[in-house]
Amino acid sequence: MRRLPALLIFTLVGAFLLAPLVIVAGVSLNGQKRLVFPPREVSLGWYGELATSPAWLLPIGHSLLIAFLSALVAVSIALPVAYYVWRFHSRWARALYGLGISPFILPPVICGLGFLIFWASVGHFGRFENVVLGHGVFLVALPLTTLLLGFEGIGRESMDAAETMGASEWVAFHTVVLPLALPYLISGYAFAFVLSLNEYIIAYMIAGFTVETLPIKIFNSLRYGYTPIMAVVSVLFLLISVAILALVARVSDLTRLMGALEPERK
Amino acid sequence: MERTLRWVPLVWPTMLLGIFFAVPFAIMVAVSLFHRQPGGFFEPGFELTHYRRFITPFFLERLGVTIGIAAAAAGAALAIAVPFTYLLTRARRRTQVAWLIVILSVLSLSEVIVGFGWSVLLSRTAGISNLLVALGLLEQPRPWYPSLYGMVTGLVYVTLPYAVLLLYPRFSRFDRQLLEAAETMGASAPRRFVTVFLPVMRPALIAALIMMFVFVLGAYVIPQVLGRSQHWTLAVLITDQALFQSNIPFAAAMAIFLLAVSLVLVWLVVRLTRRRGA
Amino acid sequence: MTGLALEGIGKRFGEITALADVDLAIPDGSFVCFLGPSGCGKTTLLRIVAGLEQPTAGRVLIGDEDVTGVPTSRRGVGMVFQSLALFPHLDVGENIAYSLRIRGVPKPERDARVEELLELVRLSGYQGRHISQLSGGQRQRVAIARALATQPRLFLLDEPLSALDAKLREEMQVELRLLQQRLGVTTIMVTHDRREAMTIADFVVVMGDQRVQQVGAPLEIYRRPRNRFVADFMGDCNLLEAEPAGEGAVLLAGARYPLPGFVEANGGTVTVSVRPEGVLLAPAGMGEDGRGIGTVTFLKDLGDTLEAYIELDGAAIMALAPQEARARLAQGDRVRVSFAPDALHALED
Repeated sequence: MRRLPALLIFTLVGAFLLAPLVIVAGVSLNGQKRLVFPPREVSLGWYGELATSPAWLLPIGHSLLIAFLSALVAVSIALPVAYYVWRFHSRWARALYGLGISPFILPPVICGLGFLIFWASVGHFGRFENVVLGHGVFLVALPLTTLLLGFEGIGRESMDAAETMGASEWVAFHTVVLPLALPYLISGYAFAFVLSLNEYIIAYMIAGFTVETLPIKIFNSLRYGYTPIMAVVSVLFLLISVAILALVARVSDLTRLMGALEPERK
Repeated sequence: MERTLRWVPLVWPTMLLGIFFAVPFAIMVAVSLFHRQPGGFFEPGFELTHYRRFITPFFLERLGVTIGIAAAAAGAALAIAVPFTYLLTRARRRTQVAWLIVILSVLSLSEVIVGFGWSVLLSRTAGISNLLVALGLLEQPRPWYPSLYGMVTGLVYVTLPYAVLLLYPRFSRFDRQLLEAAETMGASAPRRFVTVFLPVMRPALIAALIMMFVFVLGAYVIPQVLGRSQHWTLAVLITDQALFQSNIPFAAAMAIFLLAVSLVLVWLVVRLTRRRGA
Repeated sequence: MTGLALEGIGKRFGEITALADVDLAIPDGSFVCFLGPSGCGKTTLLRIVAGLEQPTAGRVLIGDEDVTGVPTSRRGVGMVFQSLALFPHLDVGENIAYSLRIRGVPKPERDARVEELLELVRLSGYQGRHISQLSGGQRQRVAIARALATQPRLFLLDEPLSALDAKLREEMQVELRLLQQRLGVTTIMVTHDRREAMTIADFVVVMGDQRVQQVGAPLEIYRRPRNRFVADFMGDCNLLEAEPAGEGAVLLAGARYPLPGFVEANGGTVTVSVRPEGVLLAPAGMGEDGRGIGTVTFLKDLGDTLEAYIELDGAAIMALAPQEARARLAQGDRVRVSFAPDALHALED
């Protein structure tokens, strides 16, 4: 009986969080173009329709490629910074760490406008690579925090031990540090990837009129009314996100990643 | 030589963060003081015209709306997140991981998709009102958006997972013996929560609330999809000025204002958690 | 030949002195313990030997080579850490072969060496085990084998046994000593446990207060501590104030005791130490009075022995007597206190 309030709250929050997802998944199965729920004439027809509409496939391609590359940029920035913060307590690295964390804390529209003005000023407006760099810088915070967490989980004596056994800094880094921090590297990459995939405002301000990402495409279509393909691509993106996050949970300790102090032993 | 070489790996991060983050911000600050060229972009200059527009009723109204909406959404999300996270940190590890995946998925979900989902949920043809009609609670289905409530609901939805993730680390490190002590002294479960847990966690809760407030300040899509134009927030206004009114200096001034407000709030959080934490 | 020499080693962290003026020469092939309370600088000294810390003054010589500026990875030392620092992403065999792998030793050779080392630490066949599958003692052995893989010139151990329970710990001490004798590698172990140091070491370096207090063979240090610090740290000890009584003797509570080799330095009192087992008690005769006669204030039965606390002319003395003495002693008894030959020792301070 003591568990009843817990169950009630879990159910209510669960229902609240899942309701819009369930209904989007539901309407994506409508046979007709009309927006009704529960779905009528249930079919996967619109999923097939998606496969043959370049107007939707192109933005999906853009989004995936941008996410893939910008997460790479984010990790490439975060890895040396986090390592130098952990290993050498370097002041410079710490300053970079602060700089890397800040865009993620601030309202994204500020970054968006900053990038917009920057690219307009250098006369290189509306390009694909701008979005990659913008997202890369914006999302650095994610691999930064996961990597630092991962490094902190490695005992300092492990590095000393490697050194006494003849490993130089570089050898110790790729034979001890990197393998041990790999799950956190993957998690950081995955978080950055998923967030880039779903990011709207920065992509829109950097190159909204020339490089259409999926969120931009959905929002643009929303202005002209409903089409079931919106629901289809939303479901698709949701599935990608869940799959990637579940993968993160598999390769690393999600409770520790989210800040719980003592993970229970597996 | 060896000492200099040691810092080579930091060159790349310094370059990227410098050129693509620090420089754009510097330019933005400069542009906020530039002269607007009607019809074009802007030209170098030094004027406070754009900052002066902050005291016009037009801007003050947007600011008031933004603050009110952000406060309402952050407060509501916190009220849900606190008991939920409290229970979550007490659940079994597997349950925690499963919930965290759901929470992270919802958090990473595009604001556009969330906005779309709620617009369906609140629509006349497919929404919840149909359910209420079926249950006999409502005469006929109604559209519940665009509306202030629809919009705040959407904002609570995007803020809730963020709130849970903010509270989760603090809650899971809470010393459970405090609750056990209260239990030995005869406090019931709700009593323990209210008289021991919440007071001990107060600084964390205030810090989370401020962070959530900053988070909602950035909302852009949901106000446009679920709200009416009179509910549009500062973020919408900034984008509108920059992209459609071609008034980049004014947009930059507003962005810097938003930045300053956010920084002050975040600084407050840092002070708050540092003093009480440790 | 010296295995290791430290010359004028000092270490400061800003205003704080971690080590001051350490001079030390360790014979090749010996087993040395750095012994001292926590914070005395013993681990810092070991890390300076390993090159994991840089001294702010002085030189480190391994063999006859000055290695002061040489990075750890090129010093040719093997080290066992307090946390053991076994790599969790590698199995037992890979952990042991780590130093060989990064030196580019071919796999067949590596495998052979791993087998050899596992046999040495009595873990044959454990190559493929995961670290998490091992017990505390087994992990210990893996860490030892790993440190010895490249036949280091120096074998360093930083309190490696502190995490083990008492019984296993004693077993490992003996095993470690036997292993070291077999290999003949110059070995330094840091410990705060004097019994461990006494069991295992050829030489003990007692450290306290950021400097070396005394160096010597374990028994030598136990019996003839140089100062109060060492006397105290090496176990229960009576420290008594005595008056010089000419050459080779002191006056204690009015009685004259021989102290061979004692030379009066600058007058005044001198502190002498005597271990409890060096204190001899005999029943005082009825008529006897005064000099060298004390009172039993408390008796503590320890099963195999008896601890007797005596008040002798205002000084408290602890004596360790065989259990048979129980019949002859009772609280409040008056006893004649004397000292075993050679048990009295004058301290420098």
